[in-house]
Amino acid sequence: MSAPPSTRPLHPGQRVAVGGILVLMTLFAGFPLLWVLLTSLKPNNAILSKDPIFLFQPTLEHWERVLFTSDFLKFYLNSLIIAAATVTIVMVVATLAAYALARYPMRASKDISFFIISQRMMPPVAVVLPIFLIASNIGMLDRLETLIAINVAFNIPLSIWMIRGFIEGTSREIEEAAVMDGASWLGAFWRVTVPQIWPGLLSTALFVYIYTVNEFLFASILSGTNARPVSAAVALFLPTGVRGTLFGEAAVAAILIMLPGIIFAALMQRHLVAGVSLGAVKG
Amino acid sequence: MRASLWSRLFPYLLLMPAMAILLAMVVYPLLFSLTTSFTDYNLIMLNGVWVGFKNYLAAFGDPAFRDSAIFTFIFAFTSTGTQLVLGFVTALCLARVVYARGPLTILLMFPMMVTPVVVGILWLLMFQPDYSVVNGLLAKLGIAGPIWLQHPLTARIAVIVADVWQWTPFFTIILLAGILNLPKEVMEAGEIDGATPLQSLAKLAIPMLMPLILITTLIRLIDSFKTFDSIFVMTNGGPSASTEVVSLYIYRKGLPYMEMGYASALSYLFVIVLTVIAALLIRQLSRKA
Repeated sequence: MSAPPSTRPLHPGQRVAVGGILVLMTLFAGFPLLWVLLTSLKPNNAILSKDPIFLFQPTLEHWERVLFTSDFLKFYLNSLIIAAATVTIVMVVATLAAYALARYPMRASKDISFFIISQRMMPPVAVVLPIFLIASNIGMLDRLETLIAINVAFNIPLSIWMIRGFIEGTSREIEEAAVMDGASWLGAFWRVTVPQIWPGLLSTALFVYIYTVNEFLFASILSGTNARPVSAAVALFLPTGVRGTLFGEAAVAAILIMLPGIIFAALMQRHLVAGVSLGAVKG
Repeated sequence: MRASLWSRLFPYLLLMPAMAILLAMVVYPLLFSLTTSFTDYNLIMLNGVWVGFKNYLAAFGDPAFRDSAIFTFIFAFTSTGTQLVLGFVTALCLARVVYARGPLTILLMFPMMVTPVVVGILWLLMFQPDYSVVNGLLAKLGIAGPIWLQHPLTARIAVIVADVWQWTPFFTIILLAGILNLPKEVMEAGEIDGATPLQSLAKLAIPMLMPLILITTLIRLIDSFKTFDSIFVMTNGGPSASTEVVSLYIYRKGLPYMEMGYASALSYLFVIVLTVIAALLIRQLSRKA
């Protein structure tokens, strides 16, 4: 990172203001996360206390219930299967398409790019109803394959967009030289270009993973007890209706679901800004 | 000649799998629901009869749809505006931090990495009716908090707070990158010419950051129009539909009530509005790029 634009030293008053704002923003960002962690460890009477309680005898009863007596781990496994299949398919299909868009000047290239990115502007709720009808007509409700297909479709546009940028950043000449030397285009791409864009491919794959695990609308509508992924399963712990208040359990589930994303944020800090600004186009 | 035909077809061959998947999973369902939107397809009339533009006309006279559209606009503009202000101020402060800026930035980014459903749960927990931690903290300041999620106005504030919490970091990191990349010479020249910090912010930094601010705001605006998960979990659109955004209204019409024809028409209207906004955004992006 470059130096801040202003080198003028801050007055003591300004320094306090800057520090104060940052402390407040950090509390705002961090407190709900801390609170959910505390809630997951609280006995029920402390959860239901009228005043917020910060000191209490911690208990693992909510963790035990979620991990061992509910189907949560099965749903977690469903999510992992869906995400692994989605990431694999998306990376292959999107890399092929991105290569074509990056390396070949096509007359339709601009339209294709627009088509691809416009897919991402579409509200998911607009396709969830027809997909529900189609899936129920052909008997594909509550199947992992259906959720994989949907996540693949929804992650392809962003992935093409990102990978295309990475490929365009590499030299085309070296690849062509390898082809001249008798390598197939795939061999040249694999041995010359892929090693250069490897970090970019990895961060794309991680983004696809996060988006897939986070997907909620399709997951909850198209899955039943069999193929339910963890994002939809969280609703089981919600404090509504006859299920009563399972805040401790909901907190545990919330932590287990967001943990990969948080670890991802910590590990990927360097690639994150570029990825997030691209990812935002996808939404 | 064969080689040249092959090399001309080759890129399209590479594009084919991606295009086939998008056509099957997105375009086909959209065409399917376009047809459905002109019928009265519902739980009883499983095949549906052609009704022309009846569903679309009904949408314009539907007060619940109008209310949800109005709230969606309020939600999108209020939360995006708040995020812009908070994120910009935070980015300006972060830019002045000399030590440990990296770890602090990561800490501030955490909310963005939280699953939207979990955001709903977190803030449901924070705003709980009887034993809300928000009210507990307000009580320490001597303020008696309302029962947040049971009054229309406070429930609206609560869902906006949750969205602001999650997406302020988005503005922070993008604008921080922009601030750190401002041309040093220009900013220094301003200081030498005697500009106060506020003047150099208003006259130099903000104008130079404008393209970035604009794009980031438009991107978030589009996204917040589509918000579903966190509101679904926090309030499910209640109390008395006060936090029902368009996505939620369409969902409710479509699934529990199975008014597929009407819900399809609503989603088409929604897609049209979003596409207009998206087209503006894309034009903006390609002009700046």
